[in-house]
Amino acid sequence: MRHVHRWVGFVIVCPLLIVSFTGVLLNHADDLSLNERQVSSPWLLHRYGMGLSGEPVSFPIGQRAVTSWAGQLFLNGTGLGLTGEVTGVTATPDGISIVCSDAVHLLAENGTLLETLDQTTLPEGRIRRAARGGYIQLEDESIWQFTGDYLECLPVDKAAADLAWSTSGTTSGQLRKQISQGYSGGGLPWSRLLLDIHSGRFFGPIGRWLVDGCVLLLVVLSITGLRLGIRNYRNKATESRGQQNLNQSASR
Amino acid sequence: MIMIPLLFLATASAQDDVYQKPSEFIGETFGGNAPKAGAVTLTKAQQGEIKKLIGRFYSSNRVRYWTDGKKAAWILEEIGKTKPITIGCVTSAGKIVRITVLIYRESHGWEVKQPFFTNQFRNTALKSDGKLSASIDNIAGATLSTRAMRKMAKLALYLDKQR
Repeated sequence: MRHVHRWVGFVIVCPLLIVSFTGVLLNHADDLSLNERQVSSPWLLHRYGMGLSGEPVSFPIGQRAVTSWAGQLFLNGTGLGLTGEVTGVTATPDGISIVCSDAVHLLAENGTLLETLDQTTLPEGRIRRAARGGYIQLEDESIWQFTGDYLECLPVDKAAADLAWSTSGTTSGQLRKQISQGYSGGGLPWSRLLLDIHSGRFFGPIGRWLVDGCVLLLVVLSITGLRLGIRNYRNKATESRGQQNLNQSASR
Repeated sequence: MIMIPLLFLATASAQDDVYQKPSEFIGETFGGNAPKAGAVTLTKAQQGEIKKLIGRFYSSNRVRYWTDGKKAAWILEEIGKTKPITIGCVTSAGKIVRITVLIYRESHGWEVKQPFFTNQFRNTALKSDGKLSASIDNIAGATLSTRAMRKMAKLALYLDKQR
């Protein structure tokens, strides 16, 4: 019995500490603002499907860069809250135009959105690339140009070779890191992470069964502990009675 | 944060209910020939006034419209419950000529596209207290969508004054 009790104790000590510690934290989730605080670890966010998959594509524009990663757009590593498949980035009189295959986002110099041009302004067809001067080329090879105020987009007779097309460059490791760390998808509060660790869900399908197993072992530990305790008490009581008898016999 | 989903909507996805393409709405409004577009560039003060009207800053700082000199057509978007509703609104002389749901993305509340609801907005103006001059009846089960429609009507009328 003592042997079983000892080994069960060894087996569940780590899981029990984790469950106990996360349980205490969850009990004070409001006091610790665990519902508001967000997890920022890229590894954890990726595990929850909130990371950025695939390879980033960056388009340099002056001293800055627009990066498209997993459909999300970033300006100098800061999320713009815009989506799209970027085909080119060019300068405009007011700032930057991010040309995507099916929309054009016009940004002010400070990066705020001025307007998103959609099918009401853009020609029919997907945009293949963009060039300096407000030019775009569609997948059907036709070339169009935005008016200076970007209110209209008109077809132009221009040779593609004469235009300075926007091309993508490499995304530096530092920029990748900055984007990964800053991007949190829909957000992952600490309370959710702790709850998943507490219940074992964090460790996959087997995690829940492991926690269940630990709970059962804890029941075994309690029963064996109780029985050992009772046995110890009885032994001590017997010893004590024996000692008393000895003492009485000696005094006689 | 509210702006983020709004910016997501340049193109209608396959699951959207497109009742009328925005370009078709513009064409229909002006008899097939869409006039040159104009734009209202919103200042910080104007965004502040818009926030008073619709409860948030508009998602972009430039709002496009099409006008033949008399009436103006606007394509606007507002979140219903979780997804944006795209509407077309025609204004003239500070009043709504017509309002139409162009793209509806929510699973509930599509009844706001019905003429019995949209016709209530006809000849509605924006009062100085920021309310619509006509009382717009709700639709049971589409409270958020009707609220979004009212907000867009207010926004269109406000923008009409700014052009």
